[in-house]
Amino acid sequence: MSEPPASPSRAFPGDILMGAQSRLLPYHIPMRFFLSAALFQVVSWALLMVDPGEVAGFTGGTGASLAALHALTLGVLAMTVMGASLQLLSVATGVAMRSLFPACLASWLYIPGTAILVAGMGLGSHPLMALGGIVVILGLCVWSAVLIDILRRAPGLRATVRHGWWALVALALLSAIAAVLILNLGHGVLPIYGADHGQLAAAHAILGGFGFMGLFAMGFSYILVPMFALSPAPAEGRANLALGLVLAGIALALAAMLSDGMETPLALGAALFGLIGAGLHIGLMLGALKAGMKKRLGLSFILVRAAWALLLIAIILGGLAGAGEDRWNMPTLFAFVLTFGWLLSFIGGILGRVLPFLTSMQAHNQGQRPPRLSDMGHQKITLRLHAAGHVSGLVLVAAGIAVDQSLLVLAGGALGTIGALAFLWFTVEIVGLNRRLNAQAQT
Amino acid sequence: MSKRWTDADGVHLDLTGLEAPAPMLAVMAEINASDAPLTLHMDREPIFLYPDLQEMGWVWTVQGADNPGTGEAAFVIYLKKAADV
Repeated sequence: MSEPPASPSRAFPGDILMGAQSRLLPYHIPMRFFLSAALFQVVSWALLMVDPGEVAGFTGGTGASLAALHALTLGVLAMTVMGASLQLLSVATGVAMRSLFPACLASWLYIPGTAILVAGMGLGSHPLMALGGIVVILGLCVWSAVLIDILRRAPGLRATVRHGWWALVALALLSAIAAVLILNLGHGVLPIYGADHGQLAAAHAILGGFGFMGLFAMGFSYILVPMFALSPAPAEGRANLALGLVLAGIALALAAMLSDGMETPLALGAALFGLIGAGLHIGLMLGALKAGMKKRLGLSFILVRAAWALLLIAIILGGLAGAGEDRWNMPTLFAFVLTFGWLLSFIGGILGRVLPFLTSMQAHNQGQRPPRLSDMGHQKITLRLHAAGHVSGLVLVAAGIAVDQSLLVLAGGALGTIGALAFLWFTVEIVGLNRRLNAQAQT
Repeated sequence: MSKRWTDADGVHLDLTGLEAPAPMLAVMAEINASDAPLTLHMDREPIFLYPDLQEMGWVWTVQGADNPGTGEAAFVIYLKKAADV
Protein backbone atom coordinates (compact mmCIF):
# COMPACT_ATOMS: atom_id res chain seq x y z
CA MET A 1 0.00 0.00 0.00
CA SER A 2 1.35 3.41 -0.91
CA GLU A 3 2.15 5.95 1.75
CA PRO A 4 -0.21 8.86 2.26
CA PRO A 5 0.78 11.95 0.32
CA ALA A 6 3.14 14.45 1.89
CA SER A 7 1.60 16.78 4.43
CA PRO A 8 -0.15 19.64 2.73
CA SER A 9 1.14 23.15 3.09
CA ARG A 10 -2.08 24.12 4.87
CA ALA A 11 -2.56 21.82 7.84
CA PHE A 12 -6.29 21.65 8.34
CA PRO A 13 -9.00 19.21 7.42
CA GLY A 14 -10.11 18.84 3.89
CA ASP A 15 -7.03 19.80 1.95
CA ILE A 16 -7.69 18.79 -1.62
CA LEU A 17 -4.75 17.37 -3.47
CA MET A 18 -4.02 16.36 -7.02
CA GLY A 19 -6.95 17.98 -8.74
CA ALA A 20 -9.72 16.39 -6.75
CA GLN A 21 -13.02 17.52 -8.24
CA SER A 22 -16.37 17.80 -6.57
CA ARG A 23 -19.81 18.72 -7.83
CA LEU A 24 -20.13 21.74 -5.57
CA LEU A 25 -21.26 24.87 -7.36
CA PRO A 26 -19.75 28.25 -6.52
CA TYR A 27 -21.38 29.27 -3.25
CA HIS A 28 -23.07 32.32 -4.75
CA ILE A 29 -25.32 30.27 -7.05
CA PRO A 30 -27.34 28.31 -4.47
CA MET A 31 -27.02 31.09 -1.89
CA ARG A 32 -28.67 33.69 -4.15
CA PHE A 33 -31.78 31.49 -4.19
CA PHE A 34 -31.68 30.90 -0.43
CA LEU A 35 -31.14 34.57 0.40
CA SER A 36 -33.99 35.56 -1.91
CA ALA A 37 -36.20 32.93 -0.27
CA ALA A 38 -35.43 34.37 3.17
CA LEU A 39 -36.35 37.86 1.94
CA PHE A 40 -39.59 36.70 0.36
CA GLN A 41 -40.49 34.87 3.57
CA VAL A 42 -40.50 38.23 5.36
CA VAL A 43 -42.57 39.72 2.54
CA SER A 44 -45.13 36.90 2.60
CA TRP A 45 -45.77 37.12 6.36
CA ALA A 46 -45.79 40.95 6.28
CA LEU A 47 -48.33 41.01 3.44
CA LEU A 48 -50.77 39.10 5.66
CA MET A 49 -50.89 42.22 7.84
CA VAL A 50 -51.79 44.60 4.98
CA ASP A 51 -55.44 43.58 4.78
CA PRO A 52 -56.01 41.00 7.54
CA GLY A 53 -59.79 41.24 7.18
CA GLU A 54 -59.52 39.97 3.61
CA VAL A 55 -57.28 37.00 4.50
CA ALA A 56 -59.93 34.91 6.28
CA GLY A 57 -62.39 35.00 3.42
CA PHE A 58 -59.86 34.95 0.63
CA THR A 59 -61.03 32.94 -2.36
CA GLY A 60 -59.04 34.59 -5.13
CA GLY A 61 -58.65 37.89 -6.93
CA THR A 62 -55.79 40.36 -6.80
CA GLY A 63 -54.71 42.11 -3.61
CA ALA A 64 -52.44 41.62 -0.62
CA SER A 65 -53.62 38.06 0.10
CA LEU A 66 -52.86 36.80 -3.41
CA ALA A 67 -49.50 38.58 -3.25
CA ALA A 68 -48.74 37.01 0.16
CA LEU A 69 -49.59 33.55 -1.14
CA HIS A 70 -47.32 33.90 -4.19
CA ALA A 71 -44.53 35.61 -2.28
CA LEU A 72 -44.56 32.37 -0.30
CA THR A 73 -45.11 29.79 -3.03
CA LEU A 74 -42.91 31.32 -5.72
CA GLY A 75 -40.65 33.48 -3.58
CA VAL A 76 -39.88 31.03 -0.78
CA LEU A 77 -40.92 27.49 -1.66
CA ALA A 78 -40.09 27.24 -5.36
CA MET A 79 -37.05 29.50 -4.87
CA THR A 80 -35.67 27.10 -2.26
CA VAL A 81 -36.42 24.07 -4.42
CA MET A 82 -34.45 25.67 -7.25
CA GLY A 83 -31.40 26.46 -5.14
CA ALA A 84 -31.45 23.13 -3.35
CA SER A 85 -31.96 21.06 -6.48
CA LEU A 86 -29.11 22.71 -8.38
CA GLN A 87 -26.67 22.10 -5.55
CA LEU A 88 -27.80 18.96 -3.77
CA LEU A 89 -28.79 16.87 -6.77
CA SER A 90 -25.43 17.50 -8.46
CA VAL A 91 -23.55 16.50 -5.32
CA ALA A 92 -25.76 13.57 -4.34
CA THR A 93 -26.00 12.03 -7.80
CA GLY A 94 -22.42 12.89 -8.80
CA VAL A 95 -23.70 14.40 -12.04
CA ALA A 96 -21.87 17.62 -12.87
CA MET A 97 -23.71 20.48 -14.54
CA ARG A 98 -22.47 20.98 -18.09
CA SER A 99 -22.36 24.75 -17.61
CA LEU A 100 -23.03 27.19 -14.79
CA PHE A 101 -24.57 29.77 -17.12
CA PRO A 102 -28.10 28.26 -17.24
CA ALA A 103 -28.24 28.15 -13.44
CA CYS A 104 -27.25 31.83 -13.30
CA LEU A 105 -29.68 32.69 -16.10
CA ALA A 106 -32.51 30.96 -14.23
CA SER A 107 -31.78 33.12 -11.18
CA TRP A 108 -31.55 36.33 -13.22
CA LEU A 109 -34.98 35.63 -14.69
CA TYR A 110 -36.76 34.00 -11.79
CA ILE A 111 -35.82 36.24 -8.84
CA PRO A 112 -36.78 39.61 -10.36
CA GLY A 113 -39.69 37.97 -12.19
CA THR A 114 -41.14 36.80 -8.88
CA ALA A 115 -40.76 40.29 -7.40
CA ILE A 116 -42.58 41.82 -10.39
CA LEU A 117 -45.34 39.21 -10.29
CA VAL A 118 -45.91 39.60 -6.54
CA ALA A 119 -45.95 43.39 -6.89
CA GLY A 120 -48.44 43.10 -9.75
CA MET A 121 -50.71 40.85 -7.69
CA GLY A 122 -50.54 43.18 -4.69
CA LEU A 123 -51.23 46.28 -6.78
CA GLY A 124 -53.81 44.61 -8.98
CA SER A 125 -51.79 45.55 -12.07
CA HIS A 126 -52.43 43.17 -14.94
CA PRO A 127 -49.46 44.38 -17.06
CA LEU A 128 -47.09 43.76 -14.13
CA MET A 129 -48.62 40.34 -13.49
CA ALA A 130 -48.32 39.41 -17.16
CA LEU A 131 -44.71 40.61 -17.33
CA GLY A 132 -43.77 38.92 -14.06
CA GLY A 133 -45.58 35.74 -15.03
CA ILE A 134 -43.77 35.49 -18.36
CA VAL A 135 -40.34 36.11 -16.80
CA VAL A 136 -41.04 33.62 -13.97
CA ILE A 137 -42.11 30.93 -16.44
CA LEU A 138 -38.99 31.59 -18.54
CA GLY A 139 -36.83 31.23 -15.43
CA LEU A 140 -38.58 28.01 -14.50
CA CYS A 141 -38.09 26.68 -18.05
CA VAL A 142 -34.34 27.33 -17.90
CA TRP A 143 -34.07 25.73 -14.45
CA SER A 144 -36.19 22.78 -15.58
CA ALA A 145 -33.85 22.21 -18.52
CA VAL A 146 -30.88 22.06 -16.15
CA LEU A 147 -32.71 19.75 -13.81
CA ILE A 148 -33.90 17.46 -16.61
CA ASP A 149 -30.29 17.11 -17.74
CA ILE A 150 -29.21 16.11 -14.21
CA LEU A 151 -32.15 13.74 -13.64
CA ARG A 152 -31.63 12.10 -17.02
CA ARG A 153 -27.97 11.36 -16.30
CA ALA A 154 -28.35 10.46 -12.60
CA PRO A 155 -26.98 6.95 -12.09
CA GLY A 156 -28.69 6.26 -8.78
CA LEU A 157 -31.01 7.70 -6.11
CA ARG A 158 -33.90 6.38 -8.13
CA ALA A 159 -36.64 7.30 -5.65
CA THR A 160 -35.53 10.92 -5.53
CA VAL A 161 -35.12 11.10 -9.30
CA ARG A 162 -38.59 9.63 -9.84
CA HIS A 163 -40.12 12.23 -7.53
CA GLY A 164 -38.23 14.90 -9.48
CA TRP A 165 -39.73 13.80 -12.80
CA TRP A 166 -43.28 13.85 -11.46
CA ALA A 167 -42.70 17.21 -9.78
CA LEU A 168 -41.63 18.64 -13.13
CA VAL A 169 -44.79 17.27 -14.77
CA ALA A 170 -46.83 19.03 -12.08
CA LEU A 171 -44.82 22.22 -12.64
CA ALA A 172 -45.56 22.18 -16.37
CA LEU A 173 -49.29 21.76 -15.73
CA LEU A 174 -49.51 24.36 -12.99
CA SER A 175 -47.52 26.88 -15.05
CA ALA A 176 -49.88 26.46 -17.99
CA ILE A 177 -52.87 26.95 -15.71
CA ALA A 178 -51.19 29.99 -14.10
CA ALA A 179 -50.76 31.61 -17.51
CA VAL A 180 -54.47 31.08 -18.25
CA LEU A 181 -55.45 32.50 -14.85
CA ILE A 182 -53.36 35.65 -15.38
CA LEU A 183 -54.82 36.03 -18.86
CA ASN A 184 -58.30 35.69 -17.44
CA LEU A 185 -57.72 38.38 -14.81
CA GLY A 186 -56.90 40.85 -17.57
CA HIS A 187 -59.05 39.72 -20.46
CA GLY A 188 -61.79 37.44 -19.08
CA VAL A 189 -61.07 34.37 -21.20
CA LEU A 190 -62.67 31.85 -18.83
CA PRO A 191 -64.58 29.56 -18.66
CA ILE A 192 -62.79 27.17 -21.03
CA TYR A 193 -64.35 23.73 -21.59
CA GLY A 194 -66.62 24.38 -18.63
CA ALA A 195 -63.79 25.15 -16.19
CA ASP A 196 -64.12 28.54 -14.52
CA HIS A 197 -61.53 30.67 -12.74
CA GLY A 198 -62.23 29.18 -9.30
CA GLN A 199 -61.93 25.59 -10.52
CA LEU A 200 -58.68 26.24 -12.35
CA ALA A 201 -57.29 28.18 -9.38
CA ALA A 202 -58.07 25.18 -7.15
CA ALA A 203 -56.37 22.81 -9.62
CA HIS A 204 -53.39 25.20 -9.75
CA ALA A 205 -53.18 25.09 -5.93
CA ILE A 206 -53.31 21.28 -5.80
CA LEU A 207 -50.65 20.93 -8.49
CA GLY A 208 -48.43 23.49 -6.76
CA GLY A 209 -48.83 22.50 -3.13
CA PHE A 210 -49.04 18.71 -3.37
CA GLY A 211 -47.60 18.24 -6.87
CA PHE A 212 -44.60 20.39 -7.67
CA MET A 213 -43.48 21.43 -4.18
CA GLY A 214 -44.87 18.51 -2.22
CA LEU A 215 -43.23 15.91 -4.47
CA PHE A 216 -39.89 17.72 -4.39
CA ALA A 217 -40.10 17.92 -0.60
CA MET A 218 -40.75 14.16 -0.45
CA GLY A 219 -38.02 13.35 -2.98
CA PHE A 220 -35.34 15.48 -1.37
CA SER A 221 -36.23 14.00 2.01
CA TYR A 222 -34.96 10.62 0.80
CA ILE A 223 -31.51 12.22 0.47
CA LEU A 224 -31.50 14.80 3.23
CA VAL A 225 -33.05 12.97 6.16
CA PRO A 226 -30.72 9.92 5.97
CA MET A 227 -27.79 12.29 5.41
CA PHE A 228 -28.51 14.33 8.51
CA ALA A 229 -29.53 11.38 10.66
CA LEU A 230 -26.74 9.14 9.30
CA SER A 231 -29.13 6.34 8.51
CA PRO A 232 -29.67 3.95 5.58
CA ALA A 233 -31.85 5.19 2.74
CA PRO A 234 -35.47 4.03 3.07
CA ALA A 235 -36.51 1.06 0.93
CA GLU A 236 -37.04 2.18 -2.64
CA GLY A 237 -40.13 0.03 -3.12
CA ARG A 238 -41.92 1.67 -0.21
CA ALA A 239 -40.88 5.12 -1.40
CA ASN A 240 -42.33 4.28 -4.82
CA LEU A 241 -45.54 3.03 -3.23
CA ALA A 242 -45.88 6.27 -1.26
CA LEU A 243 -45.28 8.23 -4.46
CA GLY A 244 -47.90 6.23 -6.35
CA LEU A 245 -50.49 6.76 -3.64
CA VAL A 246 -49.81 10.49 -3.47
CA LEU A 247 -50.02 10.77 -7.26
CA ALA A 248 -53.36 8.93 -7.19
CA GLY A 249 -54.52 11.37 -4.53
CA ILE A 250 -53.47 14.35 -6.63
CA ALA A 251 -55.21 12.93 -9.71
CA LEU A 252 -58.43 12.39 -7.76
CA ALA A 253 -58.20 15.88 -6.24
CA LEU A 254 -57.83 17.41 -9.70
CA ALA A 255 -60.82 15.40 -10.90
CA ALA A 256 -62.80 16.66 -7.89
CA MET A 257 -61.86 20.27 -8.63
CA LEU A 258 -62.91 20.01 -12.27
CA SER A 259 -65.93 17.72 -11.94
CA ASP A 260 -69.55 18.75 -11.80
CA GLY A 261 -71.54 16.70 -9.31
CA MET A 262 -68.93 14.18 -8.14
CA GLU A 263 -66.89 16.57 -5.98
CA THR A 264 -67.56 14.96 -2.60
CA PRO A 265 -66.66 11.32 -3.31
CA LEU A 266 -63.68 12.33 -5.45
CA ALA A 267 -62.35 14.76 -2.83
CA LEU A 268 -62.76 12.24 -0.02
CA GLY A 269 -61.08 9.56 -2.14
CA ALA A 270 -58.23 11.96 -2.89
CA ALA A 271 -57.80 12.66 0.80
CA LEU A 272 -57.79 8.94 1.59
CA PHE A 273 -55.10 8.13 -0.98
CA GLY A 274 -53.13 11.21 0.04
CA LEU A 275 -53.29 10.34 3.73
CA ILE A 276 -52.11 6.77 3.15
CA GLY A 277 -49.32 7.88 0.81
CA ALA A 278 -48.16 10.73 3.02
CA GLY A 279 -48.45 8.52 6.09
CA LEU A 280 -46.25 5.90 4.45
CA HIS A 281 -43.70 8.56 3.50
CA ILE A 282 -43.68 10.00 7.01
CA GLY A 283 -43.34 6.49 8.43
CA LEU A 284 -40.25 5.94 6.24
CA MET A 285 -38.78 9.24 7.43
CA LEU A 286 -39.45 8.48 11.09
CA GLY A 287 -37.88 5.06 10.58
CA ALA A 288 -34.77 6.72 9.11
CA LEU A 289 -34.56 9.07 12.08
CA LYS A 290 -34.96 6.19 14.51
CA ALA A 291 -32.28 4.10 12.80
CA GLY A 292 -29.87 7.02 12.46
CA MET A 293 -26.54 7.24 14.26
CA LYS A 294 -27.33 10.87 15.08
CA LYS A 295 -30.21 11.14 17.49
CA ARG A 296 -30.10 14.79 18.44
CA LEU A 297 -30.92 16.78 15.36
CA GLY A 298 -31.89 19.98 17.12
CA LEU A 299 -34.62 22.51 16.69
CA SER A 300 -34.63 22.19 12.91
CA PHE A 301 -35.97 18.67 13.03
CA ILE A 302 -38.63 19.62 15.57
CA LEU A 303 -39.92 21.97 12.86
CA VAL A 304 -39.64 19.18 10.29
CA ARG A 305 -41.64 16.82 12.49
CA ALA A 306 -44.26 19.52 12.99
CA ALA A 307 -44.34 19.98 9.22
CA TRP A 308 -45.09 16.28 8.70
CA ALA A 309 -48.02 16.54 11.14
CA LEU A 310 -49.24 19.62 9.27
CA LEU A 311 -49.05 17.71 5.97
CA LEU A 312 -51.54 15.18 7.29
CA ILE A 313 -53.76 17.96 8.66
CA ALA A 314 -53.60 19.80 5.31
CA ILE A 315 -54.74 16.68 3.46
CA ILE A 316 -57.71 16.24 5.83
CA LEU A 317 -58.65 19.92 5.50
CA GLY A 318 -58.28 19.67 1.72
CA GLY A 319 -60.59 16.68 1.61
CA LEU A 320 -63.19 18.51 3.68
CA ALA A 321 -62.88 21.67 1.57
CA GLY A 322 -63.17 19.65 -1.65
CA ALA A 323 -66.25 17.91 -0.27
CA GLY A 324 -67.96 21.26 0.16
CA GLU A 325 -67.36 21.95 3.85
CA ASP A 326 -67.31 25.72 4.16
CA ARG A 327 -67.43 26.25 7.91
CA TRP A 328 -64.28 27.80 9.45
CA ASN A 329 -63.44 29.27 6.02
CA MET A 330 -62.29 25.77 5.13
CA PRO A 331 -60.85 26.40 1.63
CA THR A 332 -58.72 29.29 2.91
CA LEU A 333 -57.73 27.42 6.05
CA PHE A 334 -56.66 24.46 3.90
CA ALA A 335 -54.55 26.68 1.62
CA PHE A 336 -52.91 28.34 4.62
CA VAL A 337 -52.08 25.07 6.42
CA LEU A 338 -50.77 23.55 3.17
CA THR A 339 -48.45 26.42 2.29
CA PHE A 340 -47.46 28.29 5.45
CA GLY A 341 -47.95 25.16 7.57
CA TRP A 342 -46.59 22.02 5.90
CA LEU A 343 -44.33 23.44 3.20
CA LEU A 344 -42.90 26.52 4.90
CA SER A 345 -42.30 24.69 8.20
CA PHE A 346 -40.53 21.88 6.35
CA ILE A 347 -38.35 24.23 4.33
CA GLY A 348 -37.53 26.36 7.37
CA GLY A 349 -36.45 23.29 9.32
CA ILE A 350 -34.41 21.78 6.49
CA LEU A 351 -32.72 25.06 5.56
CA GLY A 352 -31.74 25.57 9.18
CA ARG A 353 -29.49 22.52 8.78
CA VAL A 354 -28.67 22.68 5.07
CA LEU A 355 -27.22 26.20 5.07
CA PRO A 356 -24.50 25.55 7.67
CA PHE A 357 -23.82 22.16 6.09
CA LEU A 358 -23.38 23.63 2.61
CA THR A 359 -21.14 26.36 4.04
CA SER A 360 -18.96 23.75 5.69
CA MET A 361 -18.73 21.70 2.48
CA GLN A 362 -17.84 24.79 0.46
CA ALA A 363 -15.12 25.74 2.92
CA HIS A 364 -13.60 22.26 2.98
CA ASN A 365 -13.75 22.12 -0.79
CA GLN A 366 -11.64 25.28 -0.92
CA GLY A 367 -9.19 24.10 1.71
CA GLN A 368 -10.61 26.38 4.41
CA ARG A 369 -11.44 25.41 7.96
CA PRO A 370 -15.00 26.58 8.70
CA PRO A 371 -16.52 27.18 12.13
CA ARG A 372 -18.45 24.32 13.73
CA LEU A 373 -21.88 23.82 12.19
CA SER A 374 -23.65 24.87 15.38
CA ASP A 375 -21.58 28.07 15.61
CA MET A 376 -22.74 29.44 12.27
CA GLY A 377 -25.42 32.11 11.95
CA HIS A 378 -26.02 32.80 15.67
CA GLN A 379 -28.38 29.82 15.66
CA LYS A 380 -29.16 29.99 19.35
CA ILE A 381 -30.85 33.32 18.75
CA THR A 382 -31.87 33.33 15.10
CA LEU A 383 -33.28 29.84 14.68
CA ARG A 384 -34.99 29.83 18.07
CA LEU A 385 -36.61 33.18 17.34
CA HIS A 386 -37.59 31.95 13.90
CA ALA A 387 -39.20 28.78 15.26
CA ALA A 388 -41.08 30.67 17.98
CA GLY A 389 -42.31 33.36 15.59
CA HIS A 390 -43.19 30.87 12.87
CA VAL A 391 -45.17 28.48 15.08
CA SER A 392 -47.03 31.19 16.99
CA GLY A 393 -47.74 33.00 13.71
CA LEU A 394 -49.13 29.80 12.22
CA VAL A 395 -51.42 29.14 15.16
CA LEU A 396 -52.78 32.68 15.33
CA VAL A 397 -53.35 33.15 11.59
CA ALA A 398 -54.99 29.70 11.31
CA ALA A 399 -57.24 30.56 14.26
CA GLY A 400 -57.98 33.97 12.73
CA ILE A 401 -59.04 32.36 9.46
CA ALA A 402 -61.14 29.71 11.21
CA VAL A 403 -63.09 32.16 13.40
CA ASP A 404 -62.93 35.07 10.96
CA GLN A 405 -61.03 37.39 13.29
CA SER A 406 -58.80 39.87 11.51
CA LEU A 407 -57.08 40.84 14.78
CA LEU A 408 -55.77 37.28 15.16
CA VAL A 409 -54.55 37.32 11.55
CA LEU A 410 -52.83 40.65 12.20
CA ALA A 411 -51.12 39.38 15.36
CA GLY A 412 -50.11 36.13 13.66
CA GLY A 413 -48.74 38.03 10.68
CA ALA A 414 -46.68 40.20 13.02
CA LEU A 415 -45.22 37.22 14.90
CA GLY A 416 -44.56 35.36 11.67
CA THR A 417 -42.77 38.42 10.31
CA ILE A 418 -40.55 38.57 13.39
CA GLY A 419 -39.70 34.89 12.91
CA ALA A 420 -39.00 35.44 9.22
CA LEU A 421 -36.75 38.41 10.03
CA ALA A 422 -34.78 36.18 12.40
CA PHE A 423 -34.39 33.62 9.62
CA LEU A 424 -33.26 36.38 7.26
CA TRP A 425 -30.64 37.37 9.83
CA PHE A 426 -29.47 33.75 10.00
CA THR A 427 -29.26 33.53 6.20
CA VAL A 428 -27.41 36.84 5.85
CA GLU A 429 -24.87 35.62 8.43
CA ILE A 430 -24.40 32.37 6.50
CA VAL A 431 -23.98 34.16 3.17
CA GLY A 432 -21.49 36.56 4.77
CA LEU A 433 -19.51 33.63 6.16
CA ASN A 434 -19.43 32.03 2.71
CA ARG A 435 -18.12 35.27 1.24
CA ARG A 436 -15.37 35.56 3.85
CA LEU A 437 -14.29 31.95 3.48
CA ASN A 438 -14.30 32.29 -0.30
CA ALA A 439 -12.26 35.51 -0.12
CA GLN A 440 -9.73 33.81 2.18
CA ALA A 441 -9.45 30.90 -0.23
CA GLN A 442 -8.76 33.29 -3.12
CA THR A 443 -5.89 34.92 -1.23
CA MET B 1 -21.00 -4.05 -0.21
CA SER B 2 -17.86 -2.38 1.14
CA LYS B 3 -14.54 -4.21 1.37
CA ARG B 4 -12.46 -3.80 4.53
CA TRP B 5 -8.86 -4.81 5.14
CA THR B 6 -6.01 -3.88 7.45
CA ASP B 7 -2.62 -2.82 6.14
CA ALA B 8 0.55 -1.53 7.78
CA ASP B 9 -0.84 2.02 7.69
CA GLY B 10 -4.18 1.13 9.24
CA VAL B 11 -7.66 0.10 8.16
CA HIS B 12 -8.75 0.47 4.53
CA LEU B 13 -12.34 0.67 3.27
CA ASP B 14 -13.12 0.19 -0.41
CA LEU B 15 -16.40 2.00 -0.93
CA THR B 16 -16.42 2.09 -4.72
CA GLY B 17 -19.67 1.19 -6.40
CA LEU B 18 -21.83 2.06 -3.40
CA GLU B 19 -24.74 4.46 -3.62
CA ALA B 20 -25.26 7.27 -1.11
CA PRO B 21 -25.66 7.17 1.83
CA ALA B 22 -24.01 3.73 2.16
CA PRO B 23 -20.39 5.03 1.95
CA MET B 24 -21.07 7.65 4.60
CA LEU B 25 -22.62 5.08 6.93
CA ALA B 26 -19.72 2.68 6.51
CA VAL B 27 -17.22 5.42 7.37
CA MET B 28 -19.21 6.59 10.37
CA ALA B 29 -19.56 3.05 11.69
CA GLU B 30 -15.79 2.59 11.37
CA ILE B 31 -14.77 5.82 13.07
CA ASN B 32 -17.36 5.36 15.80
CA ALA B 33 -15.72 2.02 16.59
CA SER B 34 -12.08 3.06 16.47
CA ASP B 35 -9.79 6.09 16.39
CA ALA B 36 -7.26 4.22 14.23
CA PRO B 37 -6.14 5.85 10.96
CA LEU B 38 -8.42 5.00 8.10
CA THR B 39 -7.94 5.02 4.34
CA LEU B 40 -11.00 5.30 2.10
CA HIS B 41 -11.14 4.28 -1.55
CA MET B 42 -14.09 5.98 -3.23
CA ASP B 43 -15.70 6.82 -6.57
CA ARG B 44 -16.54 10.34 -5.53
CA GLU B 45 -15.13 12.83 -3.09
CA PRO B 46 -17.23 12.44 0.08
CA ILE B 47 -18.02 16.10 0.61
CA PHE B 48 -21.25 15.30 2.49
CA LEU B 49 -19.03 13.68 5.09
CA TYR B 50 -16.65 16.56 5.77
CA PRO B 51 -18.79 18.64 8.16
CA ASP B 52 -19.42 15.59 10.35
CA LEU B 53 -15.77 14.51 10.25
CA GLN B 54 -14.69 17.96 11.39
CA GLU B 55 -17.25 17.98 14.20
CA MET B 56 -15.89 14.62 15.37
CA GLY B 57 -12.28 15.82 15.41
CA TRP B 58 -10.91 14.03 12.36
CA VAL B 59 -8.52 15.49 9.80
CA TRP B 60 -7.97 14.22 6.29
CA THR B 61 -6.18 14.58 3.02
CA VAL B 62 -7.65 13.73 -0.36
CA GLN B 63 -5.81 12.25 -3.29
CA GLY B 64 -7.53 12.16 -6.67
CA ALA B 65 -6.55 9.68 -9.35
CA ASP B 66 -5.78 11.22 -12.72
CA ASN B 67 -7.42 8.59 -14.89
CA PRO B 68 -9.03 5.89 -12.77
CA GLY B 69 -9.92 2.72 -14.63
CA THR B 70 -13.28 0.97 -14.39
CA GLY B 71 -13.82 -0.24 -10.85
CA GLU B 72 -10.83 1.71 -9.54
CA ALA B 73 -11.14 4.37 -6.88
CA ALA B 74 -11.17 7.94 -8.18
CA PHE B 75 -10.33 9.27 -4.71
CA VAL B 76 -8.27 8.02 -1.83
CA ILE B 77 -8.95 9.77 1.48
CA TYR B 78 -6.53 9.46 4.40
CA LEU B 79 -8.29 10.01 7.71
CA LYS B 80 -6.68 10.51 11.10
CA LYS B 81 -7.98 11.53 14.48
CA ALA B 82 -6.82 15.10 15.09
CA ALA B 83 -4.65 14.21 18.09
CA ASP B 84 -2.71 11.73 15.93
CA VAL B 85 -1.58 14.35 13.44
